[in-house]
Amino acid sequence: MKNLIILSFISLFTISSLFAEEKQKPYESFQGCGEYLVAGTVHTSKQGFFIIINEKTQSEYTFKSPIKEEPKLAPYINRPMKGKMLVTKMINGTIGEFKSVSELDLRIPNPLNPIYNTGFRLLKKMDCQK
Amino acid sequence: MKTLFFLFITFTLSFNAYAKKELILIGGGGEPFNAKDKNGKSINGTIFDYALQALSPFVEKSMDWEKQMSFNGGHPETDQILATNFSNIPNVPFTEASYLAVIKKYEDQLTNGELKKGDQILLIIDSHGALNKTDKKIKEETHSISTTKNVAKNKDTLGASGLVSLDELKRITKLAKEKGVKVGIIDQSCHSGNTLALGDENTCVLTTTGPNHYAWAGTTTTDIQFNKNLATEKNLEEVFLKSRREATGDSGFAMISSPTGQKVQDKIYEVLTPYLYRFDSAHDKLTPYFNNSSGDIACKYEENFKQLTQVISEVEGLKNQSLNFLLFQYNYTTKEVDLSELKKSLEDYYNFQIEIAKKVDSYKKIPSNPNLNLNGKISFTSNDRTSVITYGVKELLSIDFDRMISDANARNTNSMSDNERKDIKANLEIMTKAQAKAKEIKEKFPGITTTIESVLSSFADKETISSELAVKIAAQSKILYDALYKKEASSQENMNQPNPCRDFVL
Repeated sequence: MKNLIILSFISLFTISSLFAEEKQKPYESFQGCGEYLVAGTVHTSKQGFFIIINEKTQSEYTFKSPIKEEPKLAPYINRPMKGKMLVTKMINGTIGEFKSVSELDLRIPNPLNPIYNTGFRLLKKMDCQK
Repeated sequence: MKTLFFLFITFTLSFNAYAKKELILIGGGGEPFNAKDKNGKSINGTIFDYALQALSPFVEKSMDWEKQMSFNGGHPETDQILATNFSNIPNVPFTEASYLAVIKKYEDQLTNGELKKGDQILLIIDSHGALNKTDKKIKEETHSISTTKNVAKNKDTLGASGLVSLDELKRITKLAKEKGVKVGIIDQSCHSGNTLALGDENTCVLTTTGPNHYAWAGTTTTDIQFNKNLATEKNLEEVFLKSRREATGDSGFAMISSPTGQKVQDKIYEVLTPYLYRFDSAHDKLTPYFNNSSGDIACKYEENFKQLTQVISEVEGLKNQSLNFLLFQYNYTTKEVDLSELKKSLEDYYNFQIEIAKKVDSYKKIPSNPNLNLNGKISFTSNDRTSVITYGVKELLSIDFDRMISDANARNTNSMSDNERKDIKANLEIMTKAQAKAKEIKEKFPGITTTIESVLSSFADKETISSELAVKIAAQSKILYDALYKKEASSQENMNQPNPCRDFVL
């Protein structure tokens, strides 16, 4: 019983710590061209590679990868990932194209808190290229 | 002349009749109290019950022995066996205090001359036994056993069960040697091979298993045979050899402290060690064995197996000479020493274990290899040097290149710009190079993976396979041990050495 209480306390502490960390810097909505820190998932189709942000939600965004950047995404197909993404062109609604990606890594999804799980964080606002 | 001979016989018999013989039984600790079986039925006995029953013929027969017992305490069925089979021996529960009291009693008797030259002490130990402690604080020569204080949950350390160290027995063996009192110790606990440290030219030690192995309790196990054969054999060496041969139901490695035994054990115990281990969840010695082994494990396995095969070949090669000697001395019917079954089982288990060893090696090597550090990076450039991609080793190994290349080749390039077509070509070049590198790493480090658990989890039937083979090898290797023992015993060097096990006549 004593162990159970300690375990519950540790679990609550861990969950609340994660939550607190994410709470400080929540993901934002897409704000036009610029450099973003993104958390999403990589998918492929006959048309190429895509990074999908906020997948299966009302605010899902899809960014197509330039062919040149595809090998960078290869290790993350169908896997939760995060990294920097540069968007230089206007997007059409929620579908667009990014110019380049960098500092890619796998991320650990947090199913308890999907809101803070995937999304955009604007690092540098830029004008869109015409 | 006849009168002289008669007097000699009478003197010898009366000397033996007056020699004091002391039998001490201790142990039965570390067992759970109020335990229940799978059906919720109370378990009132202990795993020592079979061995206790097997000991009763010897206890009945040994009328001329003084007997002392400190065994178990608190398990109704075990208490009942003790009350029925050992009714004339007073018993006290096995605690640290009772253990020290027993030692003190015999220490006193040896000091004050109650026990003197020619007398004998036979100590039988049957309890849960720990591995030998070799940490910075405590360096045991022997090992510790459980008292009845608590249950022994961890079968290697027996933590919290209340331990007493058999090192304390040195107080008896040292004094006994000085006084010429013969000592026999039979340790039937797990890791009992460590107790051989008490053996010398005056003290004979028999153990049911080696220093790194578990001992077993059942109806055909070594402890049962030891206890049964005490009633039928003449001396401790005979008890040991007969019992070792007859026990078939465990994967232990019985040991003896006689000079011959030490030589045989030095020759084969270490090389046989991993083949007597198993993966079964309650007695898993193989996972720690792989985990704690350093360096190239597969290479060590190869070397070890070569050594083992060599010993087997030596025995096969020398069997005629050895058997001729035996034929001459004991009038034996010659029989081929057949090690073919042992060789087959060893080969099966070796092939199984080396496959694991190779995978564990791959797993262990990666972090220490600068070129293959899992966190390291490898860059790939397209032939026209317009594209550079850098992958971490972990990333590289996770890519499905076949699919990547096939998808890229299937892309419809008709609607693409020239630059896009160039990029597709550059990607294919990079993917092909990266694929070759990943293949090279996987070939160099077969079974490359990121956790040791995943290495072992890929061997689905490991518990069944390892348990069956370990028991088989333990039984089949007895022929090898026997043949080596006979060969070594016949050597002049061993014949001239004192043998306290042969000298300890029951």
